[in-house]
Amino acid sequence: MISKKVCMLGAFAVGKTALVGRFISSIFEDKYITTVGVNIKKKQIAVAGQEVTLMIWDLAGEDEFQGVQLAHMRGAAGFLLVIDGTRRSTLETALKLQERATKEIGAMPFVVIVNKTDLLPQWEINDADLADLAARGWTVLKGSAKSGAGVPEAFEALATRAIGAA
Amino acid sequence: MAANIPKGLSGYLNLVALDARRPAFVRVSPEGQVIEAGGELARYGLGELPTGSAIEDAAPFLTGLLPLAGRSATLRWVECAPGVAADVHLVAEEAHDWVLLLDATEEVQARQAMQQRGNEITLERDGLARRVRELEAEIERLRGGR
Repeated sequence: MISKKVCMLGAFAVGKTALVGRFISSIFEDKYITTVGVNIKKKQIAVAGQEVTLMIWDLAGEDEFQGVQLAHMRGAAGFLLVIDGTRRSTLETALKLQERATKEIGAMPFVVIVNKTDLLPQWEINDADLADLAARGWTVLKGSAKSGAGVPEAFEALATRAIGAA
Repeated sequence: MAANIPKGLSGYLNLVALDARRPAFVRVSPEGQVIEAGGELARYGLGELPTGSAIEDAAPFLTGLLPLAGRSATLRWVECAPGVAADVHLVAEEAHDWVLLLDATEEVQARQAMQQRGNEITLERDGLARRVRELEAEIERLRGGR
């Protein structure tokens, strides 16, 4: 059985914890509860013909008061970079975090998920923004922790890359 | 700084710190096996750790972290068990690594309340700024229609 540590990275309130909750337990909690430090959840999935246990480190988001503790990413095989489609500032934060993580921890596989497709009419992220990310060679997916859309696909894409099968 | 503490007090301070931080420790071989373990292991969901057992089986949160390869690290506020957070000190020594867990649950709970309120205020502020932008755009549109 392969076990891989993966991290959730992004600005505060983008839905990192909600995505984990949807993926692990198929539940969604509408109320925003901030994460302090890091919560860790575990899930076994089948990827590329192998059973993989993902240890998901749900890191506290970057906010005005404290930066993400990138030391928590040590030993990770990849990360999910989460953006809130309704808040443009979270795209800018994601770009900075990706750069910082690469610089401080080293290059590692990651997948971008732009969360909150259930609120599409309120999106500040547009197709040009997504195309710009994709042009960097990044894997960019859209999803919703609330509806569940795109969530298994995002984690499966990350797991595939984390085990080096992509 | 430690050299300035009178001997009689340093023992007391040690007890206060141990009582407050409820340490648990594990010494791990380069192959990831338990060499020795002690302290308040159960508090962090570790329970029994027989010598020779694989540390990652008992502490899955250590996946990917060991061996340290000479690089010590401290990971703050890690949820090790439901409702229990610890500062995880990973101490590299030549022939083995130490994992030291120090309780940080109270600190995390205190911070949670502050961080929650701070982020809620930021979200409200950003939401209002967005509403102002929308209204300004609407005003411009109406002016243009004159």
